[in-house]
Amino acid sequence: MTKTQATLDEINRLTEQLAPADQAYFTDLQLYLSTAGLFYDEAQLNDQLLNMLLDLREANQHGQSARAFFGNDPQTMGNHLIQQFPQPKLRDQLGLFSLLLGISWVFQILSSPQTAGGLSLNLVAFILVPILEICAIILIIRILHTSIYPNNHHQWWPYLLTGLIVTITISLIVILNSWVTVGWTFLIPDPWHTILLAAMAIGATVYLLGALLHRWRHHQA
Amino acid sequence: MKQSQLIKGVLEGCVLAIISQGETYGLMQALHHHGFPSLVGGTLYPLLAKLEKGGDIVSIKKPSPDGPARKYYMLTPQGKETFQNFQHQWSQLSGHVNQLIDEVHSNDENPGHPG
Repeated sequence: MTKTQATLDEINRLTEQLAPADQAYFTDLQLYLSTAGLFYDEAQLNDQLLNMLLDLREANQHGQSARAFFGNDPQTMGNHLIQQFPQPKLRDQLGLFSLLLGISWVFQILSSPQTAGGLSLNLVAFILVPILEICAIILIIRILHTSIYPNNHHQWWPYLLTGLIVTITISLIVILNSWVTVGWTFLIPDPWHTILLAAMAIGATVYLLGALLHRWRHHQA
Repeated sequence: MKQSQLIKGVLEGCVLAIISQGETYGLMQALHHHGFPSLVGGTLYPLLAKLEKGGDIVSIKKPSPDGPARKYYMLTPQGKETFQNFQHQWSQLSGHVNQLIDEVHSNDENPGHPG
């Protein structure tokens, strides 16, 4: 188990012990900070949250609620904390982008049509679909972030906007995959496409088994 | 004037003052104890994050007998210098303010002799 995961587990365990109102206050703050950006240092954020939670637990013992301890304006506190987050490192940003890109490409390859000559990759979709997906993810996280402390009573707008983004993204992906194919394809000939698919299947299986083993060890510990 | 507005300017120096006395955790209680009873986490935690980001304080985790490891704060050499500057500025400012208030009191007692 990584240090970050251990801290997050500790936060979850301690949050469950809070009174319902304090639990709601703290989980909202946690979600607000976590959705401030894709690339902030998760370990540092969790350290900050755990520290605040431990102080809150002590305040609880003196009869103070989360609202009394942290104040009536968690959003402003959250904004001020976000301002102090260190700028994300380029390495972390590239790492996450690569992961999203990799996942998208795996699905692109798996869903590409197989012809007599091999696997036919749609190049336009191969380039544009990951960009679309990453933009959609960033937008949805942004909506989630702003919906935690809504400024008005229209609580339905995040659902509507998220629904619209998902619908538009899926529609564009379908259009890119099915319409823009002529002259923009790349053929992976036999047997390379079979080798590529086999390598992906082995990679996914090893990853899945590794994750299961990790969870099993964590439960045993 | 609201007390919170007055406090804002000096809170940073007071936090540095408390941390300068040794490795510290539970700063909120210490500040409540030192005359800031209305201070809330919404003010303190962003300030600590700012001081840490600015290099005036560092935090280390130390095991706690009551549960998970706690974050202890310490002054850095830069933080010590910032605190010394604060002491100097505060000494000047409080001197000027006290002098002004004394003048006002003295004028109240002797209305015919302004200044």
